[in-house]
Amino acid sequence: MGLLRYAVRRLLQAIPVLLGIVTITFFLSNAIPGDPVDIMLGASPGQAQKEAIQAKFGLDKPLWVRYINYVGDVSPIWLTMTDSFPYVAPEFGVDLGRSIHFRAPVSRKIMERLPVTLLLMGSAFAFAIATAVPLGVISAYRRNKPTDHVSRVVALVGVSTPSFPAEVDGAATQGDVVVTAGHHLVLPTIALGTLQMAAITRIERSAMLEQLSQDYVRLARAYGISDRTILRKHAFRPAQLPVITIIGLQLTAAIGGAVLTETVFEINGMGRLIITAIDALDYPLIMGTTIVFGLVFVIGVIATDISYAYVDPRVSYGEREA
Amino acid sequence: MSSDETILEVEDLKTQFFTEEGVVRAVDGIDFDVRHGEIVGLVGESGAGKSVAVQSILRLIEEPGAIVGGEIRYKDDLLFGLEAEADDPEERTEREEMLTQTEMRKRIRGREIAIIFQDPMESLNPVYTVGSQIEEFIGLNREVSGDQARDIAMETLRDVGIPEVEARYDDYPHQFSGGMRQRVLIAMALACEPDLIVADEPTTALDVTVEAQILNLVDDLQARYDTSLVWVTHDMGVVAEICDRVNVMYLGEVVEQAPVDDLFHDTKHPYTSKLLASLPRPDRTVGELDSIGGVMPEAINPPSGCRFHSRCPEAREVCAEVHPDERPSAEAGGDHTVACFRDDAFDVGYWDSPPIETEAGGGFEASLTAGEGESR
Repeated sequence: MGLLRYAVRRLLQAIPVLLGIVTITFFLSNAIPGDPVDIMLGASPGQAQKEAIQAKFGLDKPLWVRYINYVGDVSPIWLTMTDSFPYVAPEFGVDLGRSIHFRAPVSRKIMERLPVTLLLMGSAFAFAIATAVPLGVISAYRRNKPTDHVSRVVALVGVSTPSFPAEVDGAATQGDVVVTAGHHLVLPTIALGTLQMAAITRIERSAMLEQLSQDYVRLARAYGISDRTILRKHAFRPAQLPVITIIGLQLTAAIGGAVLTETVFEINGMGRLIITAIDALDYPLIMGTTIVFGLVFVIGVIATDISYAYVDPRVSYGEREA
Repeated sequence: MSSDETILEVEDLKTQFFTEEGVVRAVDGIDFDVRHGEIVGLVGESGAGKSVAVQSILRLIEEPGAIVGGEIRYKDDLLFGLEAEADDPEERTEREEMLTQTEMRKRIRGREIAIIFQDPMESLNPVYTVGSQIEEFIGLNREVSGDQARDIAMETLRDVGIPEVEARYDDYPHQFSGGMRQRVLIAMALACEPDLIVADEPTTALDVTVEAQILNLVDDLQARYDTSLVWVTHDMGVVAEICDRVNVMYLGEVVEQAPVDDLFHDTKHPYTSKLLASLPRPDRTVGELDSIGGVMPEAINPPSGCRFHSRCPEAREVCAEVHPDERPSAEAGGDHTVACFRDDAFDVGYWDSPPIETEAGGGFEASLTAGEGESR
């Protein structure tokens, strides 16, 4: 089946991308000045103690050995040396290592934090799409009328506001950190979603405007199709391609935004985890969180590409034309 | 087949576009009618206002354009008509019996008058199947069930010569060639069973062999479905092929109107003659085609007098001063009308007026120098 094969192929293509993420993040984080053990032990540690801890986390080995070991650890399949014939054996499973700072497995920390961040990002996107799409459509339909101007100003303000200031107002209104997500999610969602909403509104509007002047939309009008149906169907569906593109691209902005939002609203998600990791120069934790963010992004891009083909029959899953 | 009953009557239609550069008088007072079972041609160069004229009939003109005057009658309905306001004779408002946009949509568009656009590649929605698009229009414009609509769509597609209709029904437009897409558009128009089809240069985007097929098809189907057609084109060859009567348009005006044979054999207007002369003909070998000198002036600020005088080989002083209205030709008589002082229907002293220098002979170079005096 075309769709399944396409998805599998895209996932395989993602392997080099993830390897690239691992490589770059590994060397970049190791290039940060400072030493995690120094941070851990404070001002004047004993030499022996320092060496012992370095050995415990494998930090005494040369950089390239640590790199190869790490790639081996995070790969689902890898070959390890054994003492007996054939001297290598397959090793299965992903091991993200132990966090230096938390003194716990990185994977456990991520599993704790990831659902929170996914919930935040998911609700932010849901909020953004649910408001931006109708706003953009109405704006295009009432182009150059007051409704259009208002929604364009809203979009302009939204797109010019970094997620940080938008949050400050919200942060002031909430006294202490509450655990219950429900109503607590509202402000972070709006803070993170506003930026996406603004970008999507603008693209939706221009894409709809372009569609409304297409011959096939004019033809639909000429055959007595109502404006409503044209907006909902004839112009809407072909207009969604650029919108899907921008939603896919906004994923990166949303990941960056999540880090800020979580910090400001004191949400214990992936964003705060990565900040803590960098503060502590916790190499395994930096790597682990970055890889997971990378994975989220890659999956987002693949989902984007698959939805292209769903919206536009001219996009095939790389098969020959029927 | 024709019962001489006039189904569409356009009178003094004026459609203008209000742009930043000024008011573009795209259609400036044209008259024409269409009788039952007839193919009426609307001919002219690019920019003559043909497309705007036919879109005005369906009231599809969008901002910044608007129909500003005249009357359009279709059977017993008034598609457009203004009347003077009681307390302010300057102010003109829409007449009460004029159809509203909703009535236009529900009763006229698709149901009574269908349109075929110029570019078959752009006229079908790329994200819906060909079959579903026809079906939707049929469902909307005819009192039939979904299954019936599907049957009608299939049958009409077969009629217009789409091979293997069952297999191709659920294909998308990009899987069809240009000629096939144009057939689909014709099928769309026919399937709604309108009494009038407006075809806006439907074969211009096609190559000549496909064009010939389509013209034969239309000729054949028109007789079978007993539909009237308004055929917009710039190609006199196409006119000769299918039209019964022809309106020649120049710069927003109709300059000559005649049954097709009269137009070709007893041409009255110099513009029509020039259009005919610019047509390649297999029975004559010429070194160079006789093109019409100069370019059509802009409709923002049309030339004074006869609008064609700046490019007319026969222009005299009077042509630049007085505007000729369209009158029945004194020489040809009958159905033949013309807007040229050379015809005896006019008495403005054309023959005593001295000839003037125009762009007609000099082509491009002359148009550069002559262009200085006029417009802007």
